Amino acid sequence: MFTVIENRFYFCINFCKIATTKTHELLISMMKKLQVLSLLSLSLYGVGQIPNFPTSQAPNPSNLGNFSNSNYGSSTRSNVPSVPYGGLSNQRSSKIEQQNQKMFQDDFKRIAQEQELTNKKEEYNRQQALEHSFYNLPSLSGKVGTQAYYDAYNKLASLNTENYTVSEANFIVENAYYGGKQNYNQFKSGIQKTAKQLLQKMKERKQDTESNTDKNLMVFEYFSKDMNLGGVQHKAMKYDFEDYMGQKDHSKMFVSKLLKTGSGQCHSMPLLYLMLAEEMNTEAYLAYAPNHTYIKFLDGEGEWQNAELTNGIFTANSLILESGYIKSEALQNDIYMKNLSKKELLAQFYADLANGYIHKYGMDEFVGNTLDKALEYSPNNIYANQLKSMYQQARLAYVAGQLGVTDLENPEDLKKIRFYPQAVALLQETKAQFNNIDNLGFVMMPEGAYEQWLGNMKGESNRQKSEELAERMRQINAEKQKQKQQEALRKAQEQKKRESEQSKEKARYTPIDPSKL
Amino acid sequence: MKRNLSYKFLLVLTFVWLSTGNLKAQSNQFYNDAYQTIDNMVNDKQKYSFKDAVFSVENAYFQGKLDTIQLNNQVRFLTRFAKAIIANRELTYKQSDKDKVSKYAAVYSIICQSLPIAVKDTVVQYKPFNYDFKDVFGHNDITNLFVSKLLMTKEGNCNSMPYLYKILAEELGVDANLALAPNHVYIKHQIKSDGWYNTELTSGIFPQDSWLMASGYIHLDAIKNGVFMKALSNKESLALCLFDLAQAYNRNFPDNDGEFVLKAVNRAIEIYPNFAKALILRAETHKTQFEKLMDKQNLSSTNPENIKKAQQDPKAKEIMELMTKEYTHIYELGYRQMPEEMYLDWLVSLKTEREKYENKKLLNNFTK
Repeated sequence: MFTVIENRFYFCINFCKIATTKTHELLISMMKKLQVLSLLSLSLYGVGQIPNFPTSQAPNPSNLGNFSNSNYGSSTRSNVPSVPYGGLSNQRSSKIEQQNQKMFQDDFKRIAQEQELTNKKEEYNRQQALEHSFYNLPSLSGKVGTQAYYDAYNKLASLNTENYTVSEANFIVENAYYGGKQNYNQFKSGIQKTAKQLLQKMKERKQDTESNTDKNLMVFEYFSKDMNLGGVQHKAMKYDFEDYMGQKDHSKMFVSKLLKTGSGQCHSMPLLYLMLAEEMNTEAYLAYAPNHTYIKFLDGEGEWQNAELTNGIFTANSLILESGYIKSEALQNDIYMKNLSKKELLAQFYADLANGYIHKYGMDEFVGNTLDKALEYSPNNIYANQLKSMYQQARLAYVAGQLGVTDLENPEDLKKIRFYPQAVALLQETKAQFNNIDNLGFVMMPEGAYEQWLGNMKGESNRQKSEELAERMRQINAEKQKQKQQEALRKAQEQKKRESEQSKEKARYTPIDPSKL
Repeated sequence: MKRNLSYKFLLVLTFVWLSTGNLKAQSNQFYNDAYQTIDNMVNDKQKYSFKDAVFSVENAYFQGKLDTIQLNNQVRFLTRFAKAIIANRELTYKQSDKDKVSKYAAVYSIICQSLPIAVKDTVVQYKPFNYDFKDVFGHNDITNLFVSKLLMTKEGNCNSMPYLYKILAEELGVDANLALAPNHVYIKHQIKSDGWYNTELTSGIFPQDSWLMASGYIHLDAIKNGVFMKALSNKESLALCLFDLAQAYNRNFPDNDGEFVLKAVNRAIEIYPNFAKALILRAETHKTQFEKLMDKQNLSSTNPENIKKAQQDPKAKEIMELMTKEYTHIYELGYRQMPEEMYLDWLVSLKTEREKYENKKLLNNFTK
């Protein structure tokens, strides 16, 4: 036994020697850690096999004989009387015994082999796990509350990608941040109540509650103007300038925060809009701009309108383009100014979920998986792509850090990873994602530029234009409604006429009473 | 030397002017050759060279009288000059694609910047190419759009300057993407530090995309569909040459039956389906064909009544339907006509509102 171990070990060392001579002095000088790792894994392999080695490799016949005799001999003997032929010669019975013994031996071998195989498998899995932990960020699942996020992921995954409610998807995301302790029905009934009140308001104003445009204008007004709603004075939604990116307090991005305080930002306001539109059974879509989201809907003339909720105006496309941070490639790749489909919107909820997790706990594999799901539904989603890049950078920094790299930007320092194919692959992945984001046409918009752009939009002339746009939409709709009413009136009159004609006809025949004939 | 050149140039022009009157032939050897050359490049049967494609078009217009030897010498001289600039100038640009960027910067300098050059003991000022405000659309004389004219006179416009830029870039072994805007051509490059950026040669400025978008004549859909502001591949650039060829043919043979024009334009559209100018020329050619059919029936095209009448001829009806479909398609792609008088205002706006539209980061990269 001992010699065998030595042999194995010797083989191990030898193997390493071969490896080292192959990769020259550079590797020797730099890759101390690698050597330790490979030694570790190889010797682990060796140790794992040693206990099984004698039985599986070279069975000692005498040993085995004794073994089987002492253990199974009695059972074989006890079997003998049951053999129907009483007059079996000793010779023959010993032959049977031998055969049986051989069978036992074979069984034994097989069991030993199986055992070895499972051991190997376990060992392999252990190694995989070890390697996995080496090339992945440590899991944060031990932290209190992470389970709420894992549950939220599963809940999102159970939604129908083409037919889910925005309220529910968004609630799942926000609720995860609050540890899964909030009440959906309460949240939903709040939205439903407002939607009903808005529809009621439309009826009071004799507006067309079937018209997509009118309903959108109503929701828009709910955001941008004070109004009396169900006997209560409703205040226009305000833009919350403080920490509008939710960097200090992530819940600043939430619809629940907007509902509670009446002020929100470019993430929460459009989402609440979508929820109300959904409850009122009208169509509106989310669209991206640099660092920004807004609402798009089709008006009565089949033209797309941009509803900017942060300052309550309808914006022309050119106003959005003038931000200076939209490249033509961004438009060609549909990363900005495109109405998101249901599926693409779901991608944003996955990305929001990942973002919340990052803010609350940090980076681990959950973030990577959640973002992959987002990108599966919307490969060009710029928000998810950026988060993915952040995740990859964090992972690379962690892995490279373990390999002794302190500064990723320093090419000399980064060289330390070059003999670790998996680490190199991570670096390539990270770089490829940078290129991907560049090719999508993304440019970084500085915060100052963003604020300036939002401010510019509010200008008096833009407000004027917005009013004109809204007025035009209203007029066209009123016209349509009028036509519709006239049409309905005409039809009703026709119907009446027909009915009266029918009744006349009937009148012609009713006097004839068959019984009196 | 220079006088001699322009003399030759004039001679060629006169010849063309004389010959256009005489030449009635619908099938013209020079045009067929040029078409074949470009088509072979598209099909990879012939080595791609934007320079050869451009000169073959201009040569067809001059009916074989283009002095290609002289032009090639000029291009060679400028290429050598660019190489000298690259060798003697160190950019502040630090990324791994520095070699490529140095070449872009050299071509840009040659076309747009005046440079001091040491010749033996004295320093000579190199004069760049200038924008020629006369006849920017080539209405009076199509040769105003030509690269040969730019090389001979050192004055050009938004057609010839980007073309020359692309030619020089390719001579230096790097790519340059042409891109279109209403009535306009410019250059797009992709580099590590900035991703895609624009080079505007008529003013020598690197404008942001928002400048083009602010022209007011680029519909959002036109950008999304790649009608405008798309970095054109080499093959799509050949489609531009095919369009130029068709346009030149119309100038040489104003009364042609449209067959060659449609052939060239259809090929261009095959390569670059949303190529607005080609789509428009195709629709216009069909319109001319329709009007000719009206003439045949002795119907005056000024009377709207007659347009209906003419369509009793099934062939005319077919053309009319085709034409309507084509114009609708162009509109749906997001193309909007930019009035020509607006064009120069817009072009100048880049200089007057330079602060707003210039990509300053890039300029810092490119200076020493």
